[in-house]
Amino acid sequence: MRSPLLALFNRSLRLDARARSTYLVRAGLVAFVLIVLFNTASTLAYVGAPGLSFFYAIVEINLWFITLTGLSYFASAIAEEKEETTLGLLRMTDLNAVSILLGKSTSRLCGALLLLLAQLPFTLLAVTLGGVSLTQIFAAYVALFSYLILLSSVALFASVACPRTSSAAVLTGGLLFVMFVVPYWLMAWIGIWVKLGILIDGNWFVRGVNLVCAGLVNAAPFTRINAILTTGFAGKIVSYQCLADLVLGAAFFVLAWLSFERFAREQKELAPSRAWLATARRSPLRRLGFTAGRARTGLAAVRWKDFHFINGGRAAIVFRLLVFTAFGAWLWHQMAKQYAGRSWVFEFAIPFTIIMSLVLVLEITIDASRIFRLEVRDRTWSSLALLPMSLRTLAYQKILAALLAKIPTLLILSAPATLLLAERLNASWHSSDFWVGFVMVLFYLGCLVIFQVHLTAYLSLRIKRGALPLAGVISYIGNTVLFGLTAVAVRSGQASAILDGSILLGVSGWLHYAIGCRLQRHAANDG
Amino acid sequence: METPAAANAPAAVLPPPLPPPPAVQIDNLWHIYARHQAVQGISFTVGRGSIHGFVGPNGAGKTTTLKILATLVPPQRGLVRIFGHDIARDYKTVRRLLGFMPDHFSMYRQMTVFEYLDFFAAAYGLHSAARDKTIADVLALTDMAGRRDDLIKGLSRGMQQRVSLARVLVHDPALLLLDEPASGLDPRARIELMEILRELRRLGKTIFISSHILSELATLCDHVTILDQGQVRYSGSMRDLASSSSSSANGAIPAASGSSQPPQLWTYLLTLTAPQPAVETALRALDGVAEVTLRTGEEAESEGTFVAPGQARYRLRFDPARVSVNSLLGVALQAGGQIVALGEDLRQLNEAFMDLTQPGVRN
Repeated sequence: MRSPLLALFNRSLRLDARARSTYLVRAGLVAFVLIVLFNTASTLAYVGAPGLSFFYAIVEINLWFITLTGLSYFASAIAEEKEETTLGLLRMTDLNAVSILLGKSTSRLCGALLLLLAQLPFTLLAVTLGGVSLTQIFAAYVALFSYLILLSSVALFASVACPRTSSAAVLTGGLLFVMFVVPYWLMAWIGIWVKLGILIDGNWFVRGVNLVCAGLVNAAPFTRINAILTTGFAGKIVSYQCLADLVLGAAFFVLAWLSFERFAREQKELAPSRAWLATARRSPLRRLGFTAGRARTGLAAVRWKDFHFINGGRAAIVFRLLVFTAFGAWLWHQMAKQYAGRSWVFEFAIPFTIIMSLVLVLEITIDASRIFRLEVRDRTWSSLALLPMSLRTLAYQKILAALLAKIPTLLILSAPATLLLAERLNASWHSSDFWVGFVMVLFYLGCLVIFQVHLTAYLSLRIKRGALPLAGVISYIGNTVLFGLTAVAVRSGQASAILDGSILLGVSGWLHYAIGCRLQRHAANDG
Repeated sequence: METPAAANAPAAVLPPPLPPPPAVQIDNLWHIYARHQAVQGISFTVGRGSIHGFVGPNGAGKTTTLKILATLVPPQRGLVRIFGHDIARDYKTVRRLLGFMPDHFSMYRQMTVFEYLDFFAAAYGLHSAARDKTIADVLALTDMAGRRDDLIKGLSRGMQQRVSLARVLVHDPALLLLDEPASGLDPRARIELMEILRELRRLGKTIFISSHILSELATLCDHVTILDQGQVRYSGSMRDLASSSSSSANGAIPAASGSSQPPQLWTYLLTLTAPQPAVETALRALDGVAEVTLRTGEEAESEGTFVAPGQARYRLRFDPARVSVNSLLGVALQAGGQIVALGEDLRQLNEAFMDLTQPGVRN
């Protein structure tokens, strides 16, 4: 390779070209587009503007896909070299910081851009289907491209700053949150403070903050895509969002470059961290029994280890209990204020149940991506596999430990859920339709969560990083496709839910078996 | 009630008690990966209380065999027994009987040394009080008692290796399977580890050790198995190893009368202050001595040993059934030899290894 600047880029492209997964992902995405197209075609008779609904589905999945890619694929660009302790070797070569950053990030960016380009010919069919113009399609893709470039730079900076891919993913998510979500809140709060007289309307601070926030809100791809996909869109293909994202992307790349030497200079040992309160040996919390205690014997020892060293132990339980209770109390207070003098239990219970259910699902899914992965990554699974118990027992003990740590979430969730159920019992006690629908929804959602958890755990044993977002994308695409297909096959919503749920359960069963096989293989290979 | 006839009958002769099964018994073991026959019908045994070396080039099938012994990989064909227990059927019992130390550090580095050992001791079913005593014992044995409350991630590689060995010992296994235990250790840590292993043998443990450092195995092991291309090339005592290698053909001596087997020769090195042909002649004349060769300084250096300038080193190969070490020494002294040292030649494992294995890099 003549130019050191292109050496890494070239190597990454070659590796991608040789990898089977590259083609599988591209084929999968195009297959998804075709299935959505098939679904749209099957509903042509009774849906207005089918082209727009088809294009909307494609753009929506692309937005999520790009976001999740940023959190995993892009965020691992430099962090993976740190994890494999090869960054020092790269720095010893003729490659300077820019070459390494460009080499590691640009090839990934190219791969993702190619994925978007591969769909473009198919999405043009939306124009034929009706309801969307060519300008809208190009404008949407330009918005997606610029968002992709911004995200790759943000993730690159996070990857430079963090020692692990997981922490880089969290930082990337945090930065996106600060850039695109916090400005909404800030603008709303400033409005409230101005009304209360805490801030003076029109002064330089208020105007400045509002200007920055408005700039960031308009730079958000979600805002832009919503505008593009409205009927009768007459805007330009290249917009403020596109330019803002490119400028922000360039800024983050420069930031990554400037901070590269600072963060890459020392190769830190990447040992897993202890449960955060168990470290506090001199803390008064230790006296209260919040540190890791003596294990019981046999199976309980495995649960003890996972509970304290993976799930955070008793301290994490107390912490979560306090946070969730505080959140519930805050929501209760807000509702009491808003619905003064009226019954508001229902209005409190619904959002709280939904939020806590989502938190529970998120916690379980994160656990699924970690409990086996951490053992495999640190090559400790083989030492556990040598214990006088079967691998199946071992795996279930680890799962049990993770579930024990979910007690606070379940406890807090049970309060609004009970309120909600009691409320519904009063209102719809005699309505059999309600109960049938309720059980169907619960069955389907339960199956979905079981599938999601199994898929995440399985992927965490198959790929080095990004199992959680990949499982999210696969689950989303898979369910969209499945729902579309069963909706066509079975016209009844309830029958469709049963069919979907059963298929998901069947696939989960297979994944369950496959996870066992992978664990056996890892025990043999890592030993 | 005993009848008179029964009382007069000669006492029933009980059959002699069966010898206890060996620590490891492998019989016709095969393991085939997708495109590679890793282990091809190997058979050997490891005696109780021995230190048994397991050597072979890279890709010879050592690690696969060790993983099968450790119950991490199920055997595809053949019989593997640990202290008489079939590892395929009785794996839980087998796991209690053995401790496996892989060639890498697979440790919970976020734990303290005590927490780490306590976890494994608890997982093996030891109760709290027993655990305290056991952990104190293994920490004392591995000389890590002073680092009991240190985080593992803060320990040096040598110390982590000791903790790893301590972990293997917490459930008091009778058999230790060690895969490259000295790899990556500095010379001091390596020597100390070998001392710990000797101490463990004194405590009655059977040690099955795989290593590429042949000189250390030669001093440590009493038995050795040499594996190459998935097949056993030699399995037996270290002392018998020399006669198994092709170099034993040089200077071979006829079998003793009435015996069809060639004698098992011992190899010793005799170092004199200077070359002394009279000593050489006297030793050659002894009945049972097969070979007396003078090793030059360069030859010794190429074999990894050192001869001081001016000194002479003779390599003696003899049949211990016909001539003793004492008589060799006596003859050398009588011939006027100025002896610097006389000792067993521990390089026989190197030579045997080179003779018995194929050159080249394996996949």
